[in-house]
Amino acid sequence: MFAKVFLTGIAVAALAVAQGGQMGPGGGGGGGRGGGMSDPGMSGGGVRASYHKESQADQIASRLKLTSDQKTEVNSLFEATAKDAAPIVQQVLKCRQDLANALLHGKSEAEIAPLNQALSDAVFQMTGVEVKAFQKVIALLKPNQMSKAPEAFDLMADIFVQLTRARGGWGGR
Amino acid sequence: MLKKLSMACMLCASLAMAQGYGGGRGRAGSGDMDPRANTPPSSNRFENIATSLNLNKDQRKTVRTILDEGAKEAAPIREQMSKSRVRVGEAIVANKSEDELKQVAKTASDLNAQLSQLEIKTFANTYAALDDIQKKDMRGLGRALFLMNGMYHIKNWTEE
Repeated sequence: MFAKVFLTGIAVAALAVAQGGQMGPGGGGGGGRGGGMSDPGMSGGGVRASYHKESQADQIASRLKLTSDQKTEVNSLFEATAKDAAPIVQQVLKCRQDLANALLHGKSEAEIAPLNQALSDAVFQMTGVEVKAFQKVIALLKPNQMSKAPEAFDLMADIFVQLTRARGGWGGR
Repeated sequence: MLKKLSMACMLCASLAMAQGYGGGRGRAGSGDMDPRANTPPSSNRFENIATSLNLNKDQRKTVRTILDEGAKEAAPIREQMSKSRVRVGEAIVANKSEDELKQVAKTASDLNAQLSQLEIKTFANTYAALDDIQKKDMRGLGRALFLMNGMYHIKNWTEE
């Protein structure tokens, strides 16, 4: 019983830490590839993601050779999408925690299988958000910027999870 | 008893939330007695994990090995995921149908989920290497789990 209560505590603590969000003076760490563009003239999480040499959004911008105006538009698009995607980000986080708790608790394969499935479903939802956002990015590009577009989508993996985190929490603050 | 334990867990969680990321970051004026609170931030993920879990020298070696082994297992999946995502990008650019897009996106997302599952499995393996005191440090464990989020989605997992 103690173990059960304790593991529930881990889940709550992990969620709390995640919601607290900050990983360092710049915040935003702990994740994959950082969030927003680091242009100091822009809003977003790039400044916070100080550990990253180049944020995901910066990498996308340079891969697509975006103009300054396009960068601003794309950054706004990413910021808005990250905000809208917050419930899905939370769902991904919750699924991770549920799975971690089950593993630490020594649950059986049969018990773990639906948790893996739930995580896969949440990640698929997140990919759907990325696809929709990328379709909007594509619409902003000029024909001569399209050649590297497929590679840019690869760079977008989990960008909204990282961006939400870089902005200081899963629900934003 | 159960109520007391639940309360203790909630208290830990509340502390973590109240202090933001808190320990290990030396937040000014936090009054934190945790020695990790004064540890300077690192751009090295492993160092942050080791600090969060308060690992000793031997445990650092063990955990490092666990994380490195996870990274080896993750490498081919990450490579496949990358290729798969490029295919999704191509499908978007080519304005493929919703069904075709869903199909390629599902493949990419399943690989992404596999990486996440691997990260969590690695967290569980790391937990097994801890002593009883460390296993009860929910704040440290929560931090470590947080730090491991997305670590195998990049080539160099130690990079923050």
